Amino acid sequence: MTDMSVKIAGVEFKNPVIAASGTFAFGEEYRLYMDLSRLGGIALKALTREKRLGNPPVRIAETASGILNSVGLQNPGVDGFIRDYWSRISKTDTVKIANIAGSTVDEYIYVTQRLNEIGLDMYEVNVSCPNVKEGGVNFGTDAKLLGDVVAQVKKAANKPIIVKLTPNVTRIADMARAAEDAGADALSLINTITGMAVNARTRKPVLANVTGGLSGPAVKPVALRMVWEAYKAVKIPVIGMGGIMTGLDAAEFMIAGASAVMAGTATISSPDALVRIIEELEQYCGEQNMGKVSELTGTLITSSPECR
Amino acid sequence: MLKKHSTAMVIENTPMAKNIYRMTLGVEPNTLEYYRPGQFAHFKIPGSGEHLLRRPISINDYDMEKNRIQIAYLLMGEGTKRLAAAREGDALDILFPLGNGFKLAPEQKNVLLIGGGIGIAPLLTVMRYYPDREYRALLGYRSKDYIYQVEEFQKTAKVSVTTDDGSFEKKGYATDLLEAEFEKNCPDVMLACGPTCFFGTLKSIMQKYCVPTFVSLEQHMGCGTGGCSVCVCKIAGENKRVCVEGPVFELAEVEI
Repeated sequence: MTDMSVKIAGVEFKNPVIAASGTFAFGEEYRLYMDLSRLGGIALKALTREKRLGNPPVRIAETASGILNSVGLQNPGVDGFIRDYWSRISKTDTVKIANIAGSTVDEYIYVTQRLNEIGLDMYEVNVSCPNVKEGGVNFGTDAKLLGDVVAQVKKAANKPIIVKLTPNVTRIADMARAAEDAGADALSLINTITGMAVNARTRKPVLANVTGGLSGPAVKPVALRMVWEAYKAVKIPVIGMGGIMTGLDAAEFMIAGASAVMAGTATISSPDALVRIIEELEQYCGEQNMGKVSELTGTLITSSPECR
Repeated sequence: MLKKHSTAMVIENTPMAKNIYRMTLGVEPNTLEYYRPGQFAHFKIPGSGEHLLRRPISINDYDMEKNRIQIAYLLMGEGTKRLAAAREGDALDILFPLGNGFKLAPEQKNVLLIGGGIGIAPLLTVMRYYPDREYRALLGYRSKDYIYQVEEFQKTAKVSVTTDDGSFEKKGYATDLLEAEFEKNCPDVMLACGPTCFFGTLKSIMQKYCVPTFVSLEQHMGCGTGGCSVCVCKIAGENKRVCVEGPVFELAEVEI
């Protein structure tokens, strides 16, 4: 039996598979489909200072092996979350990660301070939402702005912080280093890649927001490359995501440098996918005779012996 | 706990009108116990992994004893084309039953059903589920070639049919018949499922005659389980998820 637990920034996860933010609401909906305590962790839906209605529909489009979405951070606001949702998930035995978003640094700080009052395990700082006009991805594409917001949230937070990076940058390593230098305890990547879908018959964009974020197997090669680059650039742990649908996909991300993984599109496709991914990863580890799943991290073999 | 994620076996899959298919499926025992009319199943597209999104399709009929459901679906694109290729004995991955469904209060005896196009399909289950009511059904089809299940409705309801082009029965939309129908005999409740062009007339009739009206809404959907928040509609100032808080909403609260 492989020890499936991993430790990230001092937080113990029973396994390295975490529900990705924005695809799992605040967890409760999925009790119908699984025992939530099977999960390594849950990254809850992004929270902002005020309640947000998000973007108008259509908010989703199917593309080849991918999904485009433009939800636009719809959420009840941090106070609404604490009042109406937190108690429904607070006692579930899994790592609970809040995802913090905002249009200004002050908003990030406010949300962080409010969350400090309840018993979350970690915070994920969302500097990478491609679907809002202000804030979001703007913080994640400028190393200086990124460093500033991360430093401020780190100062305000009483829990370890994960910085969720956007792939919509020229050099992911620069962003990874900027987050690390500003005090990030871990990184998570990739958020979605900005894309769009067009209906040739109507000549209209499929999404009301015109552009959206692409996820799913279509982005996996890009995600793997970026996880690997980020892993090489920093010393803090990296949480990998982008098109993970199977246990083998999860293993690939860990080999490329991830200490844990997140999956989201898999859940949208099938609500109980995370449990299957955990089982498949465990089976893979057994086949590989691994004592600990954490031994997988960063084991990519890049120099092959000469052929004779 | 109800097992909502299950396997359904294809019993029959056949065209019944232009671009419209009917599929009968055997579902796992007890899944129908929790079913309400107006609920839907979320179908994984069989075949390659290219299609990540499920397709939400309303239930068109069911058989409690045989553990069977029937769906009617419109061929729209690659996904529904693949569904149409499913053969008897194929196993399909479904989430079922999803959504809230139509609910009739005991005193709502006189029921008016109004449907357009593929939106006619879920209304049949209301009559199956609540057999002890009086029904009238106004069914609007695009043209003669698209007509399906009029006889099924006639078994229980007094049916009026329209076609957009007048190729069968009265020309126009089903909503064109509403005013006269309400003048004749005002129903206790109106249940609707159809294109958005219905909504204006539905709303004005609802207001004029003060009749509670419920509509089944459609929206591009993701997970079907409330997790991703993509399939929203504006309901009384809030973005409500069609998959869990709908698909049936009180028309008075729907912002069009």
